[in-house]
Amino acid sequence: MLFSINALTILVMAALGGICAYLANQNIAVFHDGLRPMFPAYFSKAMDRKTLFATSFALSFGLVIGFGLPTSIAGKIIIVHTIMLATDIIGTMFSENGNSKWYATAVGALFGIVLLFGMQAIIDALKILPIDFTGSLGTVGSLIILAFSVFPAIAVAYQAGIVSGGTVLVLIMLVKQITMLYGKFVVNGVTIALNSDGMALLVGIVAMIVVAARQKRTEDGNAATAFAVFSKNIDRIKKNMLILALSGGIVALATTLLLIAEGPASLTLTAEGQYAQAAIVALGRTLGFIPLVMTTAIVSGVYSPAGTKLIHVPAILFINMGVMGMAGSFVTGALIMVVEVLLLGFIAQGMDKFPGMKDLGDNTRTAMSKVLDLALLVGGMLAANAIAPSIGYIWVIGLYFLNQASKKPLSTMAIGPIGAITMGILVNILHLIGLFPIVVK
Amino acid sequence: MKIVVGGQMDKQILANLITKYGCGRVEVSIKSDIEAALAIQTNQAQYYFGACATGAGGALAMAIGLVGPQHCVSISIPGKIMQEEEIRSAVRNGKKCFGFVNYDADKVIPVLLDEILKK
Repeated sequence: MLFSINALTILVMAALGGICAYLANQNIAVFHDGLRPMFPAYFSKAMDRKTLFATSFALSFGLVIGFGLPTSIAGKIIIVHTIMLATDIIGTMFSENGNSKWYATAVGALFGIVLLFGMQAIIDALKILPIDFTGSLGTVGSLIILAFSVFPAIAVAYQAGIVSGGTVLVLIMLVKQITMLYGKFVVNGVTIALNSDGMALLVGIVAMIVVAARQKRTEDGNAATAFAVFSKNIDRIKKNMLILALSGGIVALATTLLLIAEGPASLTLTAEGQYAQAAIVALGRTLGFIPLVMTTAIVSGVYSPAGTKLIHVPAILFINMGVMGMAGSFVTGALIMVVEVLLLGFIAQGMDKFPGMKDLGDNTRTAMSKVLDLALLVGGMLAANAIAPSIGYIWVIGLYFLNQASKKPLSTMAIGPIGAITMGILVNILHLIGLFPIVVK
Repeated sequence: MKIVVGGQMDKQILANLITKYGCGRVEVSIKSDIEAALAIQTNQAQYYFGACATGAGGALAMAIGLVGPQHCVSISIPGKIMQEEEIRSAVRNGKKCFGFVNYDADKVIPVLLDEILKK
């Protein structure tokens, strides 16, 4: 893994697991966007704690095991879902009354620490196998680095048709190509090279926002009226602003310490040391998640321990800046969380004013999700092929279609990482029975 | 019969599938998740369909929040698709809003529509 295990990181993981479990237990914040809207039924006693827990478990357990763990192992940073979906489960498992909240907090903290040591232990265990394939796992994310800048074009196509989408696609390719050729400047003897993928991504995101801002209202907006009845929920979230700020600070600090990453794309870029590009990607994802997180928060009175994910953006930029970077990350994270909570009322009222922005959010999440599905799948094939050039492609392509035909299909996004990891384990088994000799290069 | 497609992903694909299996008896419209949920709330449409990567978040969240969890069900989530009989009984038990993983659309929509049209 990319993080180091020391007193500070152990403490931060414990704090992260602890506070997220506490927030879920006290019905203040949960990470799964689909769990949040369940809370009004729980508050009105139409749903009991057991059902709330069962729902949380059903929604999240498969994602932790099937998506969180393999993505984290392949990427060498813990993807935030692995810890925060688990703390949703832990928090709702315990009663919210009396001492139970401290049990929930303690179990959450313990989970954070176990995850920290556990992930490292898994990587260490893989390294002592006769064929060490951990070096090839990074290949799973190789397409994300080279091609993720395509997503704004796809989001625009969903929003404004394929002509606009195609135009943005060509624009993105041109920007990347031109920056690669001419993006080097010498200023006072120091060469400054613009990152071509970062520039392409930035231009794409700007184009995406411009298209969204130009969109006219297509139907009578009555969302603001519908949301007016939820003002009590906004007050409830505001009441918990301080603890949410603390959570935002800890999440940001954990990001800066390379313990967690907000999504598969920024995870890969962060792992590669491309922090500026990772921050742009995280910003794009925030644009996508603002409507979803905020609308679900407004209808439920429950927020997310990571807010709209904006806290990750400065946190990524603070990586490798020493103690001041850590302090800066914590403070910025906490402040962003406060601003987000204060803006909830404004968002509820402005719901109809910028219809394009709501669509932009949906389309951004969809486009990112689609690009990740494909990029991680092909990345998984390339990684499996690097591990076993004879059978790698066969294995991952087969796995993809077996998953589609399965009665219990995993997230498509997880097939690449799972395919690469299982390929590595398979070649070791084949090696043991003499079917996969080690080639000395 | 009016069906709205609300939640997030592959809305056009969902609408096409609903039209295909609706046997000419279903009017489909694509809306934002909020507008679609409001259409159910105000009885302007009878059923809500939505898809996303988790089958519960972007797909169904606004329907759960505005229409109420008792009317909503995730037909599939990562790692689990309901059996055909479970899907049919969800429709028979009066569920109105259905969320599922976008990749499962072609598996669950024919069953959902078949049962809905029996009503």
